[in-house]
Amino acid sequence: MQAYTLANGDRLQGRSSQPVTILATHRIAGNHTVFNLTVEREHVHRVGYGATLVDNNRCRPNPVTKTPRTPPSFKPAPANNVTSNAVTEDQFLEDAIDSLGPGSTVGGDGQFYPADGMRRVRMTDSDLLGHNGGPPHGHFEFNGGRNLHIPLIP
Amino acid sequence: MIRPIRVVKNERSPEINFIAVDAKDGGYYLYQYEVEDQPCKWDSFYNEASELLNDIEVTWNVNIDEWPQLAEFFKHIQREKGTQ
Repeated sequence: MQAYTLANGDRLQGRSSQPVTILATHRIAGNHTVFNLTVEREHVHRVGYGATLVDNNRCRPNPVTKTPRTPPSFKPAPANNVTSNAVTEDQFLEDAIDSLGPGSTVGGDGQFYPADGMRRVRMTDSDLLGHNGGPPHGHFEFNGGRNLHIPLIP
Repeated sequence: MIRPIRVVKNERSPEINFIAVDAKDGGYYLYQYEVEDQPCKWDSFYNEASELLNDIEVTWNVNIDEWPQLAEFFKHIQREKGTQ
């Protein structure tokens, strides 16, 4: 799989074989200098804070696996809303990864559930772009409980 | 497509005076407004229309049979799905 084909919800292999779920991808316009890294014999290496396994050629099985996209049962509570302090998008993503933990699943566009299905991290395109009328934001939602709206600092 | 909007009152969210419905991002939004023409105060998201309709009736005490714009909204969505 080529890096540009990665999409929200795709899963990579992280530290200690724990899955790492892609929560967002961004394209950077323009021409940029990039560097290719080849590891002799192994052809795989790990990158980034999460020690995500990547493959620099096709000598090994593809480390990327798709997750089931079946939404678990989850009940939002529409009259139980709270707004938190604003955070950067990076901080939101870090908090989301911590909150979801291993075994998380993708329930739909921009929706992520932990293994027990009792919470939802939501950041749909409309949320992130502020198309819902408010500022760009993300959500931490609790099954049948609070819907935490988190404004995002650009 | 005009989003249906409706006056509501809910004791748990007394600041909310209007709700509106939209279909986007693979599901349904329920926008909640303090003032109709201002940005929404809150938004809730549902993967299924049945979940949205249930909350409109149970949480917001709106009889969906008495909200003709909502019925027209869903008819429009069904027509769009039928043409895709």
